[in-house]
Amino acid sequence: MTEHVTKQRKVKRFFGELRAAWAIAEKRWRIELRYPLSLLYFSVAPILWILPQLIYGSALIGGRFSEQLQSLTGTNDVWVYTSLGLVFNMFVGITLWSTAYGIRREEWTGTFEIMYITPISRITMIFGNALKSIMHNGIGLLMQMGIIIFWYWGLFKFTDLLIALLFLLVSLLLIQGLAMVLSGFVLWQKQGYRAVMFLENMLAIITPVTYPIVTMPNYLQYLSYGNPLTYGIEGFRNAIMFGTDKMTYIYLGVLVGLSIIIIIVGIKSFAAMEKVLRSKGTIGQY
Amino acid sequence: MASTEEVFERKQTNLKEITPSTEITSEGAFRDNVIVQEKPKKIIKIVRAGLINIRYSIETALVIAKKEILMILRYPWEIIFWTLMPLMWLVPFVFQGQALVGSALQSENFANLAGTTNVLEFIFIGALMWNIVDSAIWGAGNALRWEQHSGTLQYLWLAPISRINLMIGASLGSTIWSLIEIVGQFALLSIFVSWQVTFVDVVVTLLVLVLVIIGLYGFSFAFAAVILVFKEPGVFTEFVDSALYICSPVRYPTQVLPNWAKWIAWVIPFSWGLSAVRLLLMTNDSIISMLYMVGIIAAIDFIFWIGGYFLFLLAERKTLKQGDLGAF
Repeated sequence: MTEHVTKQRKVKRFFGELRAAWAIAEKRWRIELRYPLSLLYFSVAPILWILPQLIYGSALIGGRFSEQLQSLTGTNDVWVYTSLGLVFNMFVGITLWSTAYGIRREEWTGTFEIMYITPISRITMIFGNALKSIMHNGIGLLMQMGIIIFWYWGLFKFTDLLIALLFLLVSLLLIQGLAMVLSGFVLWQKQGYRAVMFLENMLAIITPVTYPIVTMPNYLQYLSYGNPLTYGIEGFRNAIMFGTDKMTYIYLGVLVGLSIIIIIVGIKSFAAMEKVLRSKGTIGQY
Repeated sequence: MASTEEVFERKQTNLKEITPSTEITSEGAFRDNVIVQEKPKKIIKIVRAGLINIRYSIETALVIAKKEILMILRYPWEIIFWTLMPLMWLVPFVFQGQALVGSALQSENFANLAGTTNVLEFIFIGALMWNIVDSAIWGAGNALRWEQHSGTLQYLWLAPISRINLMIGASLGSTIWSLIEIVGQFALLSIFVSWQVTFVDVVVTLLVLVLVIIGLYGFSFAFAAVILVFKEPGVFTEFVDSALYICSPVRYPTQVLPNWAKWIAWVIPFSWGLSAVRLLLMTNDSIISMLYMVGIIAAIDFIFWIGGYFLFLLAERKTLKQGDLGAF
């Protein structure tokens, strides 16, 4: 009987946390909608952001197709190969930024303390921010994917596209873990944007976004194989461009495993950082 | 109503104060004398006032620039961070290039468009020069907004100085900041590239840089004007930054762009400056062959300054009239 009641409470609590996460996302949407120009720009901007690397690629090869790329990856379509990598990388990158900075944003608007004494989990606070970011960035993602599908129309299967989106979904869980580590860091350092930016750029270099792993020097290749985003991006792109096979599911398995590990590390590190800062009494410091 | 004699007497007294030795016999002669005697004095006065004005303007701009630099020096990690970060952004372009055209990064198609097969040097110079545009947009263009964030805009606005000098000072500070970054990055990139440059090349490059920077000051004034009116610069800054980056020959030659984008590139002094610097540092072309570019940059600079100056004055008048200068 007691066990049943405890279980019921846990379920109730879980749904309560979900409602709280939604409330946080809704609050951020309300603020965002007060700046329609900003909303419009950041929805369209992902198209602008992929252009430099696409134009650069075209300037090098004089069009869309590269034999060199074909010999390295199995596809000669530079536009689709590059765009898929960039779309994936931008989506997870922006989500990482906005989630990691969610707490800092509350500090800027003077609502951090009020949020902090609300009886909800800290993870819910971070997840609520992530939820809004995912929804917002989803607009840009839809537009980007629309263009890529137009370019690649008839050359991929719909089921493979769904598998590719599964890779994106699991990568978002991975990003939650990373964002929790960084949220702890931002909570400690306050203006920790340098660390977030540095980490994001380091990840961008060792992730095969617009080039295959073999292009990197050997020492970077080792780092790349240890980078969970490599499996996310390769799985996502390969599923659309070459279809799914045994390797795709191995990549998915590795990505899920690494995501679970990073989420646990994220939760633990955030809790540890919070404990330290609470004992120091510096949480509320600006 | 004063009589003619009284007026004459007053004028005579005034004149005596100015030129005590002058002899006056009639009113007509007096008038001629005044003209003859006062004109050089007036010109000297105007010239002197002009010189004093210029001196004060320079002093004001230098004080503002000093303030900006002092603030930068308070965060030494920022300098190191922003020197390294643009180089990190370059790495994916290098790897992407190698994936598309091979590890030597030599492309025939690129050579046809850019006039050089050396892709690495091409993008390195682009990255170095982009610092200037970046600082014009994020530093000088947003200077007034940063003052507002730190709560010092009203104090500066109340100071008896020209607002344009305020902007020139902020731009000067940003320029010094970007020059520090460029020197640091140049030194780091020299590890990978052996620059074949002569002393004359360096001097001419610096002159071209100065011309480009002057043009971008005008651009910063216009940018600051928009921010003064619309306040929140985030979206505008991001948009201009992205648009300029796409339309400028930073990572690729403008020949690869569609025609409408080429037009945008042609009206940015930075595009011409970058082409001239590349011509100097990457080819054996003589300085004379790029003189027309210098002329174009100077002409665009002039237009940018006039446009930027008047736009800034207009924005200032509008915000003061509406009383929302301090509005956040």
